[in-house]
Amino acid sequence: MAPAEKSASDPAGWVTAYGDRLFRYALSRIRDERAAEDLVQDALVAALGARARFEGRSTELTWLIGILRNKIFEHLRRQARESTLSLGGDGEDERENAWFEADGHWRGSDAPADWGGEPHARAESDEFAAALRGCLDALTPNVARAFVLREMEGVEHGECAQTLGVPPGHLAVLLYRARMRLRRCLEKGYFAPEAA
Amino acid sequence: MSVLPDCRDMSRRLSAERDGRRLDWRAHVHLWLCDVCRRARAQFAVLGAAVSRLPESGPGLSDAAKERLRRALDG
Repeated sequence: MAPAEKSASDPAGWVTAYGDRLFRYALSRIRDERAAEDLVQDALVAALGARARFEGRSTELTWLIGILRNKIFEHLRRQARESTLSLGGDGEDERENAWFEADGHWRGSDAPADWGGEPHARAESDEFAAALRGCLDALTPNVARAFVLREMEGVEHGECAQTLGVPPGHLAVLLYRARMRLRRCLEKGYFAPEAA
Repeated sequence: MSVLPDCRDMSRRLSAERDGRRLDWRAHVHLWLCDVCRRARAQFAVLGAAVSRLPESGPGLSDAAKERLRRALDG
């Protein structure tokens, strides 16, 4: 284990040392380059002001990511407040209905297909990551925000619902939609034989 | 009417399982009977693992953005 740092390093070196990693962290959650840059800037400026309170109990990068994470949560909360949180009326239910027969069984080609022998191994490739990013971009913003908070940040269900300003049952629907659409998007665009 | 969930109901339960809800015995029986539902469960797990690795790849900051950040820290 690396020795704990005693104080924050010179902020002049932060952009070179941590800029790319902080930006990738923000971009993977926000999926908007300009907003991700702004959040990194907000986090670094906040860290500059809080530098005296850095106690070296974690690495400097972990400390900066913690500050960035709070900025991302604020951003997601703001976005959620400004968006219309509707669960129906926009074709969402119809899209889901189309995946299943009336008796609740998978409809032919919409059933989960075989992703091959080692989907976890394939999922570690850069190509898979690029395909997943494309599929995340195709999600509606509310659905994407829910999935990012829950699966990327590991935020507990109740806190996640609170952050997004939705009842827990509503969040469950958003997460279900996210998983089903991502699964299907990857299957059609990445795991389909013609895409391999 | 069957006491077992159907595939649609199972999909919802498997999503809820990812969020910490335990599957009941009916769902376990259905999983045992349904290859496709087992596949859906595995795919939800792959999605969760893959999405948490996204920050390890992808583009970094542009030079212009780095310059803007340095100026913000200087100012």
